Amino acid sequence: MVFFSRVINWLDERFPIKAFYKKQFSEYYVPKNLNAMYVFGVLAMLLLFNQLITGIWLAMSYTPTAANAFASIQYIMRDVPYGWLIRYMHTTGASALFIVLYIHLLRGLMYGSYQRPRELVWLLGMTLYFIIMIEAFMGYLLPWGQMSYWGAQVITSLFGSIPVIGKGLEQWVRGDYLVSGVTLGRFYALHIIAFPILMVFLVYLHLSTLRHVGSNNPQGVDIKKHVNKKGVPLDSIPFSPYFITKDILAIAVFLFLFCVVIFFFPDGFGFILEKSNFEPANPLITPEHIEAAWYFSPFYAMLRAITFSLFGLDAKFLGMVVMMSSVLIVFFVPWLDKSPVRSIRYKGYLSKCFLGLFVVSFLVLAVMGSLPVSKATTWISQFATLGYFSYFLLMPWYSRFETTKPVPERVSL
Amino acid sequence: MNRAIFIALLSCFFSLSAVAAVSDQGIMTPDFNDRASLQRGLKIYSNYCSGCHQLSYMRYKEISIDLGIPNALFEENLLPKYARIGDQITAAMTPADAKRWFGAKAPDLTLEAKRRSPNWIYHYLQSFYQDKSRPLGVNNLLLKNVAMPNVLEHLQGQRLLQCKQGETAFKAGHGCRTVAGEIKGRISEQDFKQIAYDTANFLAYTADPSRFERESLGLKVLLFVALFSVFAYLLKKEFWRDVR
Repeated sequence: MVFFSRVINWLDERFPIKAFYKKQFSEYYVPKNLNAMYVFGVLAMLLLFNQLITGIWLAMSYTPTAANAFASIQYIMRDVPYGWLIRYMHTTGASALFIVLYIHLLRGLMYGSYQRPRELVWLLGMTLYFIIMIEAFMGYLLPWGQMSYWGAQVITSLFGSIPVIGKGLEQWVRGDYLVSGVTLGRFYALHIIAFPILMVFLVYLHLSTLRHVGSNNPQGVDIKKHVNKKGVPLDSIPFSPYFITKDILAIAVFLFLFCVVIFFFPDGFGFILEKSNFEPANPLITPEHIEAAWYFSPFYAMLRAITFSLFGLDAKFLGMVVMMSSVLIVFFVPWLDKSPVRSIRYKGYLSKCFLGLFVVSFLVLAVMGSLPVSKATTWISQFATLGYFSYFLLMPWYSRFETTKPVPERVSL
Repeated sequence: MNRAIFIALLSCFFSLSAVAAVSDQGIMTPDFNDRASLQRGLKIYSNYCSGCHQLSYMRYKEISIDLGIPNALFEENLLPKYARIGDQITAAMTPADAKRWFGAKAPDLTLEAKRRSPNWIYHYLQSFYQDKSRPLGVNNLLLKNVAMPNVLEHLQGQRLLQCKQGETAFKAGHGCRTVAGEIKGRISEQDFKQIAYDTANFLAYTADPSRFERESLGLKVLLFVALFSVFAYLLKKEFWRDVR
């Protein structure tokens, strides 16, 4: 023990670890009424870490060439000791990360966590989410299965629908006339080096801005209004040990569910590993039904929902614009929400209805995006797209003119 | 809470394994614990499939270990003359020959059970029927204009297509099935079903050989995480006692 404290002191004289621990853990004050919805941030971080570590080990045995990529995945699954475990952790981790992020985002929308003074936390978080989407998209090409190949082919072809510069841009992104080994090589480099670095940097920014302004809470009460003599909010408790122990419990429960999938249902009933991806990529045979990974399904449904040309613009281009806007519009929520209160608990009837509409639309779009195109799915997707966007575009009105309930001065457990 | 889930899950697995391998609706469930079936499946693959179809992601050695066939015995009886026990399983027919003889490459079967499903393979093997319009004289209800000959025909016997009036094969919801023809097979219908089952079961294994190790390790990991959760819960409860 004496030796340990001497090491700490030696370090502290050269690098302020004690002050860091105080500021970020033992004297970082968090609202005491945070509920279970507040554990998904730490779970997302855990999963990003999981992706990073398993990714490093996958990269040791994976071959990023069109001729060998598919076989090298099978080599990992069969010949590398515990290769199957590392790969299933990576594939299941990707899907789990999106589930966790969608709940994390919903939490933010429910409790108004994006409102002043947390706009920057929201913007950085959304940027991080956008980067994770691109990261996942590029990673999906690497197994070089049929669905990998044709998914990448369809999405990169969207660049080609941009007027005037489209065709050149499409070729520039692919590095070839169609998705090929060249595309695979660059996606691999970006997937394992460029985007992970960006992600780690953005996690750092997202967290440090959060730590600066402090967490919101389910009631949206500003806890900094009532402080004791030392300036500590009355309704707060220190991050360590309270939220450390809570997060450990959350991680344990999450790991249980995660391991059930990894060890017993690694294909995720065709949602984590699609059937058609067990067939090597074949540029000459287009699958009948190209579907996006489930976590992109809602956005893919919006892309397909636009079946008409407008103002001389191609339907495919308009679809891409709608798909991109559906992600970009979420960035602007802090300025679309004109409500005097943060939490959904004190917002009016309209806000609750529109949030409900948003969630239902998102889920319906997810289902539609995974079904083969038909007249019915197109119609339903179009309506759900309207529902999705109306939540955001009408927010400045319904959030301003509805009657809200009074927000309590102090938080309650 | 966690424990309850765990117990529910455990009992779920046990009840699953108790279900008959082929249900009344004719849906087959692979059974990796039925080693005899997997070994029979290997026999059928070696005798009937391996001439044309590779299992290129699988090694002879892994099969010998997983299926409990002693190395020496395997090398003596099951290993082709040109191969060594550590090799990946290749077929004698080259892709170029396949193209010339059948008009299509014979697909690698390692992952076929994942790409389609074990159940599909089980029914595919039973769905061949006589069709004069095809170059090999046979067609398959599950794979239109199949390029593969019915290699098991001498076992199953000739099958004929029988459709409801006005129906033809390969239409959605067609009312067609195959019935026994004049030339009888060497074995009974029930025995042939078993052959189809064993083959599908074996290919389910080659598509997912880590399952043996995965599920036994999984139970241990879940047990640990469940126990860990209990302690994490008690720790959290202890610390949060004074929060009001």
